[in-house]
Amino acid sequence: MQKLLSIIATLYSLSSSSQELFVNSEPASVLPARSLSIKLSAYIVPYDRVFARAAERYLTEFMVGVNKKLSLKIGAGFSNMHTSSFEKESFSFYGKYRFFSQDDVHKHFRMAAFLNGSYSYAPFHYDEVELMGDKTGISMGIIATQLLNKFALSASVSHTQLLDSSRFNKVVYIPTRIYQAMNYSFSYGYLLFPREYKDFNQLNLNLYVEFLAQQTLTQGKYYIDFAPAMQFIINSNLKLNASYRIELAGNMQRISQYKWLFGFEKSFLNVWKRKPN
Amino acid sequence: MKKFFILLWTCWFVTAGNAQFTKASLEASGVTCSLCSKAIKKALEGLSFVQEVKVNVKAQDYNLVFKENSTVHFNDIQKAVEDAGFSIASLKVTCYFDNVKLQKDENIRIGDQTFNFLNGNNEILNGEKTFTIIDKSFLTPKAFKKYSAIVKQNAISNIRIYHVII
Repeated sequence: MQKLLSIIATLYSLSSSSQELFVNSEPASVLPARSLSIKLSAYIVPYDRVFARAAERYLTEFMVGVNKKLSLKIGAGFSNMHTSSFEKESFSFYGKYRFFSQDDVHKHFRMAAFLNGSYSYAPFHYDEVELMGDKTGISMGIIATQLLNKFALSASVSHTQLLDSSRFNKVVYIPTRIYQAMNYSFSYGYLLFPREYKDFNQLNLNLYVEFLAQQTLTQGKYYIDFAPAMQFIINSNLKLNASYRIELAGNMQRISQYKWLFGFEKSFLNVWKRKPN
Repeated sequence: MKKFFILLWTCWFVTAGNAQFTKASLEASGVTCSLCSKAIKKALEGLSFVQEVKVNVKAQDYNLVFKENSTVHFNDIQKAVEDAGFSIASLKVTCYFDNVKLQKDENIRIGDQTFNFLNGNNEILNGEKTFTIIDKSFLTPKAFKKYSAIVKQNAISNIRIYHVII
């Protein structure tokens, strides 16, 4: 316990502002109103036992800041994670509503609710209850993010219901399939460079530590993943993300216990004008 | 009767015809990253009466220069910062006055906005003066607490009155 406190104290004392632009999870903050963002992500599994090769997934997402409280996102992806060759895999929708915000100088606390829906063409494989391309379903949850001078902490709880057609098949019921799960995430981030902000053109380097966990509602399956990540921000509008996700504990059958994530995100501010009132 | 008072109140101001806002210094709250800061800068630059925004990213200070002879709307500045996802921690406004006398409980009209000066009794304003808006959403919640009673007491009118200290 003392060790943990000293680690927290050390992190707290680092003379840096921290970040909440997490790589593996979403913060409670939403996009600025009337802004757009485009994000390309590559998920790479170094070795897929079934196909005896690396498996990859590529996602494209468009985000829009509808107003100061609501962000919407649509996405589409293709992959060879569940098929022998690259095929179109999924379409997704994500909406996030910030319902609480308290700002102070160099700190804030925010809470948001989100709804995520995904349609996947991929065959139903593995225990993981994942919407990011793998399976069809919906998910909803709550995120809380605290930014306190030197560091940002974020936590989320969400519930996922898979709506795969096999779940509603009255003739053939596959009892091993898992359709419901709770998801938890806990993220910590801080800014390593620049040590002191001078202008918008400085290259930023953010480091993140994230814990991502899932507990199924049937069959007692779970995983706890650890995902360190780094992020470069160029010209204050282009993000480059890299993360490695490792399973710390779990009893689920998964495509892999290891996964890389590389991403690229560009934002466009004030794309259209506020309506005069 | 209440209506009469409201009418009386709204008429009870002097128009400072020779006063013009020139610049403002805004401190944003809730921000620590340059990405977020850029969003605020862009939002402020999108305002029709803003000529230029200079940012001190470290301090989260935004120095706004207003266009000459333009009508400045402070609630538009507030909305711009909030639309970017953040809040105003303080807004210090600089105005060029030409012989304007401050009197207790008298509202002063500058442009098409009404201001209530909570201090500076019987002072004659000349030249550039800077004052701070102390209404809700123009201060951090903690800082606003100090003034909330005064601001509430004066907020009986149906027109927007900005409470300021000089």
